[in-house]
Amino acid sequence: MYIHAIGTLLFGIFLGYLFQRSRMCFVGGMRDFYLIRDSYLIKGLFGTIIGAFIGYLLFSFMGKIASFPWVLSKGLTPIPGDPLGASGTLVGHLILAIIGGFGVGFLSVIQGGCPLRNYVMAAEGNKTAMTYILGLMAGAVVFHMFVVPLVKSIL
Amino acid sequence: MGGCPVRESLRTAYGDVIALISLIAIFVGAVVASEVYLKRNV
Repeated sequence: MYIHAIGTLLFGIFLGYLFQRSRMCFVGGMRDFYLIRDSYLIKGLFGTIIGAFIGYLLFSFMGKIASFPWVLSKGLTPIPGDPLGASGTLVGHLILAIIGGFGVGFLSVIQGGCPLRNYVMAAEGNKTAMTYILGLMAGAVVFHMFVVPLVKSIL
Repeated sequence: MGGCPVRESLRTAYGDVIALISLIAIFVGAVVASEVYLKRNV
């Protein structure tokens, strides 16, 4: 019954260890590559995409996941989980992806790292990162309670 | 957008074009912040 929870916890501990040792940061990789052409961190981004693709491919061959690759079976509709949901239009999904992506990239550079990096820094004892995580949680609550209904009514 | 850069990367690997566009937007945001914030404060 608890096997999934225990497995997730063990995976999380293992990944957290790897993230801490490698200083993994997705936005930091983009920033470093743009500013000083340092490709150390951005390799993590491409490694994640390639590793996930291989994993999806394997599980797809094993028949464990359907609709892979997503774009061939579902077209340009996004994977469920975005704010607009299934009722959103393609233009609405695109607008949210562009605005949200730009905001995440912009603010993460100012903060010094992406949410993943801030979780690791918070675990290291960085108080700024701890405050960031509290803000992240508060922002998610405010967004889903007040902004999502507004966005849905507009888009 | 629907998630942090990690989730967007996983969605991109799954073949979600919207997630790929959001990753590109994240890169653009990082570039703009580097230009308007980091370069002026270094």
